[in-house]
Amino acid sequence: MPAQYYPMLMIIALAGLIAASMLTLATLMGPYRPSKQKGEPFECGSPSRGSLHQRFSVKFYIVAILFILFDIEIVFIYPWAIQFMSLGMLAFVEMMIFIAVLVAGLAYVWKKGALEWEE
Amino acid sequence: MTLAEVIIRLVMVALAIGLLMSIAPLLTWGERKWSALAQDRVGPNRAAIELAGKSITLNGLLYPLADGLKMIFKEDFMPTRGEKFLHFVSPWLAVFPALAVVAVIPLGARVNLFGHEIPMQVADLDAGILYLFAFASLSVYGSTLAGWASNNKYGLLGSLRTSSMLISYEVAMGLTLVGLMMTVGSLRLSDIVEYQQGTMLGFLPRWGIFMQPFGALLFFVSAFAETKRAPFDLPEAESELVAGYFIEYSGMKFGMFYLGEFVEVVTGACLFAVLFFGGWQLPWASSEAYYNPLVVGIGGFISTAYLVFFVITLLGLPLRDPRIQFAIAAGGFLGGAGLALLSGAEGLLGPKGGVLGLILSNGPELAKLLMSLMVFTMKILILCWFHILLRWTYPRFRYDQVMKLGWKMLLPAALVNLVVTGIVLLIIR
Repeated sequence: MPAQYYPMLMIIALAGLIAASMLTLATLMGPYRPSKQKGEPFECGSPSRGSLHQRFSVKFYIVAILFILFDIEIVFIYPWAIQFMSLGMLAFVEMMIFIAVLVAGLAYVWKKGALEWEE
Repeated sequence: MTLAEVIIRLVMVALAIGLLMSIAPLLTWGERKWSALAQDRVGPNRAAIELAGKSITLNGLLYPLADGLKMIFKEDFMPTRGEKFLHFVSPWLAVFPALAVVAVIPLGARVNLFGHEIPMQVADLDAGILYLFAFASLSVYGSTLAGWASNNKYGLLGSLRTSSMLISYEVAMGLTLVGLMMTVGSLRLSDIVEYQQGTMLGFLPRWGIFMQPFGALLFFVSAFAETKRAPFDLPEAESELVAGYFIEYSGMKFGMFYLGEFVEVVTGACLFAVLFFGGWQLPWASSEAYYNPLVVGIGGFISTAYLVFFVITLLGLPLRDPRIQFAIAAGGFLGGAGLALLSGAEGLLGPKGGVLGLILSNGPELAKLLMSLMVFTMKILILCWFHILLRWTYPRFRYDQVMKLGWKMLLPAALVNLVVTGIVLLIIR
């Protein structure tokens, strides 16, 4: 591993330690007096009914799938963007074709209504 | 690495984390004071320390301290039917990545002091922006798992909203920076800052915001959404979801989510300053200008006067008072004169021996270090203030509006920005 990564490990360790010490303080210093009522889910005073793990809108899954697709496509653009000035016209045209495919995908998703939330 | 290098790096780690952990609690206070201003109230001003029969309130500045103490001694609540382990670790997952992001941000100019090269940056990675994105997206786990693990319907709704909102804006955020990467040609943040020196078109500072005005706007909006604060506070919308994903958290664990949010504001401001406001660079000047005593004097005057002004507003002292105005001017003058003297004394006096000579010969580098740190801090503070100002200016979006903004406006706009940047760069090349 190159030397430029060692200091990064230091800051990761320190940040992890600070967060962990805050967690430990929270657990150690406060009182802990559980009761049956306290352990119930808080729903503004009315008793909780039904299971928590019920169905929720499929929209959230669709957004997650779209995120993976588009995020990976964006990562493909990065190396090209870094080398853009030295690659020249041909690479630009190639990237425009790639982006056209990406835009076609976005247009398809848009047309299919996957990005609609009000109904 | 040699021992000296290890020590320098450790000091840098402490400095970077210290910067975050000092500005973030200040912001919690600043936000409450600003909300008071927006709603025509006095705001927090009661927390006090009794000293020699007098109670010292410091304009409410003791509130972050009082809040911290209170939170530590509060009951640490655990829902009986929740996922115990995930409920325990998710505050950690919210704070840790927010703190670790600061590793690649250059806080000041790279200088050569007493024979050691000191980069004012914890780790100068060649994939700096990728590191930032990686750690910024880790914080999604904290809030998503928190809501999921706490066995509460509001919490679950909050965490669903968080996860899909944050990942939507991550797509837009990743794409808005492509224009800047094409212009600069590097992912290394110190290269990006170096690139932003001098002027462009003869009269504008060569800053990211002038090279990529549209990209800067898009990036600002998506980075704002990543902090989950109003107008993007759907995950915790108190009028709809009570408290959203952290509804079943109490005491310091709630405090960690709260702190993590403010740390994200500070790192967002750092990032925006580095990418679009030239980092530690002075406007219009090249980075060599830090060796010019005159420039350092003027810049030192402005930035010291600003920092004195900042402290005075923190303490709530009346700015119309002529004595206060004198204090700002005097502070600025002292800072400017001191830095200019440090920078130019060896040129005036000639080389000297002993300790004085050692200080004088390192003077220009020392002045550059202090000056660049102050310039960067000034930029962060202004951006943080702007963040709070926006938060108290705009009402909350509806959820469909947020998703529409992310997918139907920011994403296509970022693609257009990319194409236009490419065409312009090909023409002017």
